[in-house]
Parts: sequence; C-alpha cells; structure tokens
Amino acid sequence: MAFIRVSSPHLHRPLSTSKVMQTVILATLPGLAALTWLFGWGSIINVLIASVSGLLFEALILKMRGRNPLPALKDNSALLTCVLLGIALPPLAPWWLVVTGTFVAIVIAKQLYGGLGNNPFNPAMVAYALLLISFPVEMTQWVTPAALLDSSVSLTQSLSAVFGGAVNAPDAFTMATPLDGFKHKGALMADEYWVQNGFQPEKVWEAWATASIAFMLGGLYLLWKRIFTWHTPVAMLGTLFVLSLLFYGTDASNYASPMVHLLSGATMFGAFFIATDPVTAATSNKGKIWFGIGIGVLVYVIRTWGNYPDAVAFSVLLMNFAAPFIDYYTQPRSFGHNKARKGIKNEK
Amino acid sequence: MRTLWDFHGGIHPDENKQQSVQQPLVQAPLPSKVILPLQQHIGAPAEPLVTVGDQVKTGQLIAKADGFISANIHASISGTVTAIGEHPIPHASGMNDLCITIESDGKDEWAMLEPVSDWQNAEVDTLLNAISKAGIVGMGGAGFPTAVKARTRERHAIDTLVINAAECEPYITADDMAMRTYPQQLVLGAQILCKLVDPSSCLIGIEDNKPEAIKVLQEATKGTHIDVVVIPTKYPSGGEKQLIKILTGREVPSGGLPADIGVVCQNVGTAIAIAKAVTLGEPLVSRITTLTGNAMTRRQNVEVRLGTPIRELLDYAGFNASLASRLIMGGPMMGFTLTGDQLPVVKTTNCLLAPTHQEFPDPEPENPCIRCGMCEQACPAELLPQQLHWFAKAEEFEKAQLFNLFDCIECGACAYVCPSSIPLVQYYRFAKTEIRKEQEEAKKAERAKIRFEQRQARLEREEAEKIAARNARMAAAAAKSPASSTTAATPSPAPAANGLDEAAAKKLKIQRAAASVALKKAEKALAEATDDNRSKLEADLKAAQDKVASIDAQLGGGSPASPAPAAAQATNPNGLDEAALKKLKIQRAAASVALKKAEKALEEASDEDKSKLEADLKVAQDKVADIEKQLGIASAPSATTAAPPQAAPAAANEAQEKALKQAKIAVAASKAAIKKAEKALVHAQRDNDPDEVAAKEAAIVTAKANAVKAEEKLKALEESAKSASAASPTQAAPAADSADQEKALKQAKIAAAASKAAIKKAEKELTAAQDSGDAGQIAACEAKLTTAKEKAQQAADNLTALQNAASQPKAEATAASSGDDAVADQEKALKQAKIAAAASKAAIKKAEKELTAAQDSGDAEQIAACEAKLSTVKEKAQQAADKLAALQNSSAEAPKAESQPAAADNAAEAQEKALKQAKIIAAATKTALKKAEKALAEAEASGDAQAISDQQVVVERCKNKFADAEQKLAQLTGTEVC
Ligand code: SF4
Ligand code: SF4
Repeated sequence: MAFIRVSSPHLHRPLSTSKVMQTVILATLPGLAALTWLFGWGSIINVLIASVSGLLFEALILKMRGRNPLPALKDNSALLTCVLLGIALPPLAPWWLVVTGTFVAIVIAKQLYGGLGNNPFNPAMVAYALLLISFPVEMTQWVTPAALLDSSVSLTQSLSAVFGGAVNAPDAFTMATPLDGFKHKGALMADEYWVQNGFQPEKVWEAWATASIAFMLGGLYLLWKRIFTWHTPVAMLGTLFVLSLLFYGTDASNYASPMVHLLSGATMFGAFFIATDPVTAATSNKGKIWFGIGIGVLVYVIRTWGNYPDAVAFSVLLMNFAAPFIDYYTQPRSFGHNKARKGIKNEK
Repeated sequence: MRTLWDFHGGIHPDENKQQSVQQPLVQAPLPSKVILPLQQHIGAPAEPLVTVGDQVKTGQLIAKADGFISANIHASISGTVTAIGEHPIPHASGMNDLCITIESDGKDEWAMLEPVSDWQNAEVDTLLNAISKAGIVGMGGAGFPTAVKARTRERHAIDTLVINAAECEPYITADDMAMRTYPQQLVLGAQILCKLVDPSSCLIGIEDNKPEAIKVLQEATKGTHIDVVVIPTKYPSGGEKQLIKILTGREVPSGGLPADIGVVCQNVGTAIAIAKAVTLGEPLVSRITTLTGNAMTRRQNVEVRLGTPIRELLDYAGFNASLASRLIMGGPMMGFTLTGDQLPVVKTTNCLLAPTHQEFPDPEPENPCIRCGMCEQACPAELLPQQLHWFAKAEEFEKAQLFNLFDCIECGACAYVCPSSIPLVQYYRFAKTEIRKEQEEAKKAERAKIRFEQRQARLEREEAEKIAARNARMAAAAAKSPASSTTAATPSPAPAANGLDEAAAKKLKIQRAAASVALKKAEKALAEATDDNRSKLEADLKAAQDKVASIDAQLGGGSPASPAPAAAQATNPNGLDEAALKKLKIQRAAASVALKKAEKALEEASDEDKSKLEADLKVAQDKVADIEKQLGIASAPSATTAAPPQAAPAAANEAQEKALKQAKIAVAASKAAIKKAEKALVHAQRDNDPDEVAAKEAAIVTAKANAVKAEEKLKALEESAKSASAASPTQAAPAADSADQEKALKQAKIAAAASKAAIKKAEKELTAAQDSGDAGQIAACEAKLTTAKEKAQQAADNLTALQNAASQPKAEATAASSGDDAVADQEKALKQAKIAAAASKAAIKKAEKELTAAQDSGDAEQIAACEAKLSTVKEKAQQAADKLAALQNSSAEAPKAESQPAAADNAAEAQEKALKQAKIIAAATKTALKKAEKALAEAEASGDAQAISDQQVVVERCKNKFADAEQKLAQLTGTEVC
C-alpha cells in the first residue's frame, strides 16, 4: 500500500487567484453601474469591447508563446485588466481606441513581460497612458452627465457613436471633465467657471461624486473581503486630502478643494482598483503606505501644476517604477530580530 | 486577567477537532511486534544494548543514550528481539534507519521500575537522572531530549516555565485528551519541572477552543502556583516562539533559544511523561496519538506503545485505504505524508491523519505568484514569503538568507493562504536543504584545500631539501680534489659571501613580510567579521597562513641544514646564515602570537564554533612546532665548528668566516714575507752580490706567485661558496642570482684591473732588470711577468664567464642550472688550484736550479743562502698548501671529523642536541596525536558529524607530524650510529 507524498501544509484556504480576480471584478460593478446611470451606456460598451478583445489577445499571445491559454484565461486576470481599462476610458470612446488599449495592456504590458505576476507596470494604466499621449482629444472627451442633458444618450446613439467611425463622439454628448475644465479656467474663480459654462456646478459635482462613492463602496467591499489591505488606498487618499487641504486653505479661489480632488476624476477608482493591483505595487504593509503616499503626492502635483488634468495613471506608473526600491527598504522586522533590514546589502 | 500579546499573522483554518474527542482516551491493543528506531529524537542515535534473540521486558532499556544530546530507548512490549537493522522510519524524506524489532510474547511483562521516592525532597540531579533514564524527549514535534532542556538552568537564568497546551494544529487532540484524562499528572509534571528549572512563574498556555480541558486544568491547578492561561485560537499559537510571545511578550531572538530570554517551554505530553517517570519510574514506552480523518471509522485518541506498526493502528481505527487521499503523520499543517503503513509510531507521533479526497483534495496546480501579499499577512515569523519564494525559485540562496529564510518555522500559514496554490514551504525546505548542502560542501572543500596545501608545502620542502642535499654532495666532491696545492696568500677583494646571503635573505624576508601583511589583514578582517562571512574570511586567513607557511618551508628547504644535518650542513658554507636563523625566530614569534590569539579566540568562542577554532589552534600549534623544529635543526650545526654555545651564527657561515680569516692571515703573512724578501733583496743589491740578489729575487717571485695563487684559491673558494649558496634557495634564486652575479662581475673586473696593473709593474721591473743586465734578475722578472699575465688571463676568463652568466636569461637560473653552475665553479677553482700548484712547483724547481748553479760555482756561502731560501720557499709553499687544505677541509666538513677530533666532539655534541630536540618534538607530536584521537573519540560519541570530520582532520595532521618527527629522529639516530 502506498500513498501519495505531498509536502505540508495539506490544508488550503479555498481562495484561488481566479476567485480573487473575480471578486475584484464584482467589486467594480457598483462603480460601473453608477457610470452607466450617470453617463449612459458608454462605459459598459467599453468594458464589453475591452473584455472580448482582451481575452482574444490573451489567448492569441499565449498560443504564440507556446502555452496553454486555458488556465491563464481562467485565472480572470486578463478579464480584470480589461474591465478596469474599459472603466478608465471615456464613455463613447471609439471602439478602435478600446481595442488598441487592450492590445497594449494585454500583449505588451502583461504578456511580453512574462505574463501574470511578472509585469512591472499596471497593464491597464500602461494602456491608458499610451492612449492619452497618442490620442489626447479622444481621451479627454468625457460624456456630459445625463442629468445635464435634455434626454440621456440612448443605447443606439451610444453604439453608433462607438462604432460609427466618427473621430469624435458627437459634440452634443461630450464636455470636458470637471478637472479638465478646472485646469483651463484661467483667472476665474472656481465657482465662476462653472456658472460661466452654463452648468449648474452642483449637478456636475453630484455626478462625479456619485460615481466616486460607488467605486469607493466597491473598494470597501474588497477591503472587508481582505482582498487587499487598507494601506495603499488610505495612504493615497490621505496624502491627496492633506495636500489639497493645505493649498486650498492658503488660497481657496485658486486651488481645487479636497472634495474636488477626492471625489472627481479617477481618484477613488484609482485608489481602490488601480493602486491596489498587487503585482505592481509594493508588498509589505509599510511599503504599501509609501507607495500610496507617492501616488497621492504625484496625483496632486500633476493635477495642479502638470499638463494633464488627471494624473492617476501616470502617478501609478511612476510608483510602479519605485516599487522594488520601496520593497527593499521597507522589509518588515522579522520575528526575533531587533530591527528590520534595509536595502539589499547585508548590514551585519 | 493576564495581559496577552499577539503575534503577527497567523491563520484560522477549520479546526476539525470534534471528530476525535467524542470517544474517551483508550489503550490501543498491544501490538504483535514493535519497531523501535534508535533515533526518535534530536541528537545522536542511541546505542543498542541487546542482541537478536534476547528476551526483553516492557520498560527494559534496550538502547542507551550515546552522548550528551541523545535519549534512551526502552522496550515497549515484552518479547524477543528479532532484528536490529535498517527499517523504514517515519520521516519526511521517507528514509531508513537502524531499528530494534521486538516480537511480542503477548504477556507484556514489565521490568522492575524504580520510582523516585519523595520527589519533593529529592536532589535536582536525581530528578534529572530519572528523566533522562526514562528516555523522555519533547513530544510536541521536534523530540529534543527533555533532560537536556531541563538542565538549561545551569547556563541560563529562567524565570518562566511554559507548558505548551495550545495544540493549534487542526485535527489533533492528543494533548487535549491527555489533559482531560491526566490533569493531575500534568500538574505534577509541571511541578517537577518547576523544581528543576526554578522559574518565578509557571504558565500553561491553552487555546480557548478546549473548554473541557481548561475547566479540568483550572480545577487541578487550584492551590498551586501554576497559571492556566487561555489564549485565543489562532494557528500557529502552539509554535514555541509564538506561544512565548503570546504569554510573555518576549521574542526568542533569531537563531536563539527560549532560554536566552529566560523561558523554558515543555509540551503537555512531555510533562505527563515526566510525572510518570519520576513518581512511577515508568520509562517512555507509550504515547497518546490522535487517530482521525474521515477515512477512518474510529476517530479517537489512543494510548499506543511506541514502535507499534501503524498498520496495526490503522486496522484498529477501521482505516479504509480506498477512501484516503493520503496518510499523514502529524497535523494537516506541518505533518508529513507516509508512503507506507509499515512504519512505527515514534515518540513524536502525535497524530495519524487519514483524510478523504473530500477533506484534502489533491493540490491545485501552481499558478504564478500575483504578489498579493496574503502570505506576508499570514506569516507568523514576519517574513516576506513571496520574496523568499522568488529567491528559492531562482536559486538565489544568498538573498533568501538575507531575507531571513532560516527564521521560517515551516508552519505553512503562507502556503495555506496563497491564492496561487504555490507550495511555498516546499520551496523553503528546498532552499534550506540546498544552503545547508552548500555550506557542508564549502566546509568540506575548505578542509580539502587545507590538506592539499599542507601536502603541497611538504612536497615542496622535501623537493628543496633533496636539491640542496644533491648540490651539497657535488660541492663536497669537487672541493676535495684540489686539496693538495701550495698555498700562499695575498690580499683578496672584500668577501662577497655575506652580501650574497643578505640578498637572498632579503628577498625571502620581503616575501614573508608581504605574506605576513596579508595574514594580518585577514586576521583583522576575521576579528571584525560577523558569523555570516566568517567562513569565507577564514578561508582567506588559511590561505595567507599557508602562504607564510610555504615561504617558511622554502626558507627551511633553502637552508640545506634541515634535511640531513651531519652530511650537508658545512658542505654549503653559506647555506644557513644568521639572517635565516633570525627569520626563523621571528616566524616562531609570529606563530606564537597567532597561537595565543587562537587560544584567546577559543576561550571567547561559543560552543558552536569551538571545534573549528580548536582545529585552527592545532594548526597554529603545529606551525609553531614546525618552526621550532626548523630552528632546532638550524641551531644544531652551530656547535659542530666549535663555535660558542649560542646558536646564533650558523655553523657553516662561521666555518667560512674562519677560513676567510685564516686566508687573510696567510695573505698578510705572505705579504710580510714578500716585504722581508724584498728588503733582503735590496740589501743584497746594495751588497752587489749578484747571486744573492738572484736568489732573493727568486724567493720573492716564488712567494709572490704563491701569494697570487693563494689569493686565487681563496677567490675560487669564495666563488664556489657563492654559487652553491645561490643555488640553494631554489625558489628565490633568480633575483639573488643576478645580485650575486653583479657583485662577482665587479670583483672580477677589479681583479682584472689589478692583474693588469701587476703586469705593467712586472714589465717595468723587467725593463729595469734588462737595463741593469743582470741575467738572474731578468729571469726572475720574466717569471713574475708570466705569472702576472697568467693571472690577468685568469681574471679576464673569469670576467668573461661571469659576464656570460649575467647575460643569460634569469629564468634559466633554476635549481638545476644553478647546481650546474656550482659544479662549474668548483671545476674552475680546481683548475686554478692546479695551475697555482704547477706554478709553485716551477718556482721550487727554479730555486733548486739556482742552488745547483751555486753548488756548481762552489761558493759555499751562496749555497747556504740558496738552500736557506729554498727551504723557506718550500716551507712557505707547504704552509700555504696546508692552509689551503685546511680551508678546503673546513668547507668539505666530512674529512674534518677525522682530522680534527675537537671538531668531531663538537659535532657529536650538536648531534646530541639535535637528537634531544627531535625526541622532544616526537614526544610533543605524540601527545598532540593522542589528544587529537581522544577529541575524535569524543566527537564521535557526540555524533556531531561536523566535529567528527574536523577532529579527523586534526588527527590526520597530528599523525603526519608524528611520522615526520619520528623520521627525523630515526635519521638523527642513524647518523649518530655512523
Ligand atoms: S500568497 Fe501566494 S500569490 Fe500571494 S504573494 Fe504570497 S506567494 Fe504570491
Ligand atoms: S512557513 Fe515560513 S514563511 Fe510561511 S508563514 Fe510559516 S514561517 Fe512564514
């Protein structure tokens, strides 16, 4: 009689990578629903296009790399990347923009680096940044909140906008995002700007704040599910809050308020769904805090003084760069050791 | 309520403990046979006391602890020993080991048990003895001999005794049931331990998932100072380090022991076994084991005899093999799978787990790490499991160590949570094994390197000795032949011998200084180094030491005195000079310092690296002995030349110096003779006696010729000495050679110039004589001129030869060629001596002729004068010849023993001294050898493979040393007999 030999431990928590990814995808649903509710069908269409094309790309590239694509497709990581990219792209972005994005994310940023776990940069953000640089016009046209339109954009309208081949989404449906607008307000006071543009500021805020809070709820669900720890989002949001408060406090008429920073643009989405991507973030708890702080600072700096209205993608990518370095200097103090070891050299 | 601390991480797997606590604890049926591995504990395997066929009773000692860290093994049933041999044992690697098999007679007759009466008042030693006699080891998992652990008080101040009742692993309930069943025994065991360890507090740490046990214990501990501390359930709170952290807030330092922070931790089962051993005298023959898992129908705890084949247990438990997904000994988190059912239950078997496929499905395929950090959140050792995984996978073991791989307790929490199903612990085990292997191999390689280098140094030394001996023999043979020529003396150029030695010595000195600097540097680095890179530095140090040793060996080998003192010491006059001796002394001093340092380091060192340091110390001692031996040999010959008792100037050198002095005296004397003769000539000339003048002139010429020849002889001698000495330091030859050659060249040039001047002078004299028309004077002057020319020719030849030699590439100046050179030099000297002999003979003949002429003329006075002159000349020639012979003899040494009794006596004395020294060395090395052998035996007893191999190296080295010493002694005794 002989039995198999298995190394301990023999027990395993019933939580697999594909489950983790699936949970994260689930957690984006409130945000996605809010976007759809507030800005129309665009985001859902984006997500669908991205998912289909992304999975195709993943299967193709794995085939080309001589691997069996099935396990990789089943781990849901590609799907998650595509969902995140679809949400990040402006609603009603032309289909080819989305497909280009998924190609960059899956083929270049993920698989060419060696696949899951080996990519140093967040694939969705690589794709987003590349699109932003290559197609700035398409990438900065955000759909006008439905609440400000006489009638919301219908599904057919949306589809024709996406597949119509038009270079731009119909002007009627689009406007600059609050952050973008704010960037170009010139010498106007913050509130004057919105009024002057013929919109009620409250409505704009409402739309963006609702979407942000929806994403935050999804994030909190993940936190509760212990998919990630609080360190990165709290550090990032906290830093952004403190910085914006500081500047807003000194000159409220020129600088956006903490609320603007936290509840508009991609702040919440980034904090809970992008910066927490484990593969490309710092690993230790302390490291995650520094990682989050870094993103927060960069987001504020780029939003306030940089050329781009929003900055989550760039900030995350920059901090992805720094993650290995952070890891080396934020190793935890191991049990039975007096202090943590810093750096890669043996200090003894 | 006590303050409790928490440890980082940890997990909460399903407990699954209820299945096995439904039934009470029962005795498992007696096994039909037991298989008792000799090693069920950490440390050295026990030594069997029984042989096949012996009848044994339950509780009888059948294998006794072998060494300090080891444990007794007792028969767990009565019956017959049927086998002592290899048998599969329960081990993660599924290996075989020595086991004693006992076939049961079914009677279970017990041996006489010896309880400790009145343990409260018993001596601590009595209790410790009872525990170690009972063969008790830690029953929680590792199996560390309990008596050894209980003795920690001797070395550490212990303030807390922790009884580990956490039992955090899922499924296992052995301790739980033991506590419920034997609470009194547990408390008793804890009290005995308290007496042994004498802590200020005794805590029983128990997880809150065992309410029954907690209640029972709280009852049992009433009225004692033992605290039952209930801790939250979290895996792995039962880990020793984790439990101590929870209860005391203290962390066992990395690589340290609980005792380092004043804590001793014992398992529940162990405490109960202690109580049984002390109060009943019952040795450890059974243990409580949990049988659980859904592939068994009877899931419960049983008290099972050690050595019971698990097959019998499984049968008892109603095990269904077709249902089981695997068979695990130990818990689901840290247990290992068994590949067969023929394995025995051992002292550390706390659980047999037979889960079904539903319970423990086959492991999921491994996915890539997504760096989710869940492992890190779970790791109780606060490591970065994902980084360790990367490093282990990439085989970057150094980095893995840097990330504290060895602090991993292999609890499996990381692998449990890893969503990618990475068998992380397997990676860590692999990395640890690889690292240990590497370290083992590095140590082995290091030892091999030392052995090799020592052998190399010895071979080099022997080779050098051989060459030196050969050269010496050749020189002796060459120097013997020219011993019979007329010798006079003229001033010679400043002797070059000393300069020459200095050059060679300087070179060696520089080499040694460089090596010493390297050595010192290495030592300093070692002192500053940490444990981590110590081994590497030690290798460096060793290398430096070896280098110094090899230079020393060269130095020793270069001095031809070392191989066979009696035969070779004086044949090579320059061989061993003061400088060499001084160097040896310096070396000895340096080696002594190193020795002292090593001793000090040994004192300060911890037990762990003591053995290594002892090996180092031995090396240092050996080195000192070596150098002293050399020094002894070097100093010994100094007595042979009747030198002062101080060993300082080397004998050969002194002989050379003496010879030179003698030659110088001879030169001075002959100079005086020449002057006298010249004066006499002036007188004769003034008297205008042509015959008288001629006779005087002839005398002068003869004297001068002889003086010249003597000078040449002297020079030749010096040259031969020079070349011989140049040949001897085989390795250092080139540089020394070139320096010598330059010096010789200069000398030759001076000689050439001097002889040219002599020729000119002689020619002038000849012209003057021709002018005066004195035939005799003319002839005399012509003879003088001829001699001078001859001399000039010789000087020119010499110069040419030297220049040729100098122009030769230095690389060719190998030992062999320099030996050839020595022969050539000797030949040259021989030639020169022959020429000188011929010339002096000619002078004598001439004087005789003159005498005949005077006799013919009938002038009685003239005849008398000529006869007197002739006799003087002959006398002088004889004198010079004697002196030359003496010189040659002193350089040849061998004939000296016959011709000079005093010297022979001295030689004997020296021999005696050398003999004595050799004896002392032999005795010392013998002692060292014995000591080393004893240490080896001890090391073997302790079972520490490391220590054993270390000691083996030492013994081997001592043996070599001893053989060397004996050989030397035999050699010396042999010479004495001769
Ligand atoms: S839990 Fe597994 S997947 Fe997550 S970081 Fe650790 S090793 Fe990687
Ligand atoms: S097995 Fe090692 S690395 Fe993994 S959780 Fe336990 S201690 Fe940490």
